[in-house]
Amino acid sequence: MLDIILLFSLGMFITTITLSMYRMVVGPTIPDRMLALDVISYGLTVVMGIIAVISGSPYLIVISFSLALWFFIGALYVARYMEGEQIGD
Amino acid sequence: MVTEISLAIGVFLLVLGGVLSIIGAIGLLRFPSYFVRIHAVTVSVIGGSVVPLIGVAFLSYGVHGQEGVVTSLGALGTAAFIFLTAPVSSHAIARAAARMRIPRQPLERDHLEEDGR
Amino acid sequence: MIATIELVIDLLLAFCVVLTAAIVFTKDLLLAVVLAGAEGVLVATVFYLLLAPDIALVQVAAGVGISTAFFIVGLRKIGRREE
Repeated sequence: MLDIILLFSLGMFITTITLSMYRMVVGPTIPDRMLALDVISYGLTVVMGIIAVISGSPYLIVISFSLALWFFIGALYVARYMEGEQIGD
Repeated sequence: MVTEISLAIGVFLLVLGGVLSIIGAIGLLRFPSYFVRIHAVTVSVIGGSVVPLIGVAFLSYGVHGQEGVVTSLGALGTAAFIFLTAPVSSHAIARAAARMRIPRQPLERDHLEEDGR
Repeated sequence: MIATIELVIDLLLAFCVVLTAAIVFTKDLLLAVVLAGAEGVLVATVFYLLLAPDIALVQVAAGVGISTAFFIVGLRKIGRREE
């Protein structure tokens, strides 16, 4: 029973990532794609947490925190570049 | 007794987070412009990542008992970190997008333009 | 359980193929950097689902953070558009 609920939640987050991937590929501007990358990155963070619960190993949750940290730094770099450029689409 | 209550709370928060995440993704897919889409993404990040990570923390303690406390504390730390830093990155990118003059279709007022900044 | 996780791995690798095609055919270099960051996240998750968390740790740090930072420092020198 618990396995079915965990796999159902995993399927919901994979559906979210699939819907965001459309906006990632055909999104008109760069900030739209950064928004889609936001949803994809935090959704995969939750997927990593679910896999850590299924596996039961205490070492697997570290990658989730690391993904959130490095995505924050990358988003700040892209925002600083776009703010310095001031023009574009 | 404590583990069953923890398991029930964890399953409820995880399924609630999945539903909120799908709602936010549909909004990201259907809304017309960037500054409307960022509203849906707020639902999908706070409701779809912080809430199920707290659910994962309860669920790990409910499934594995004392051995799952490490995973539980890690998931709570990740949830707190996302809760603190996701608005910062969203605000930075939205400010850069406002400076870049991207198309804003349903536009009524522009307070950033009126202030002259 | 195992079959479902293998299906998830196949789906993520299919997304990687789509993103690589988009990186090759675009003319905007900042867009290529953003798409490469997304592909780094997906590849790190594939490593994680194959139960190699140490390689996933290095892939997250290199593919999302450090590679994006270095490419953007280079992009300030050479400009954004490709002729």
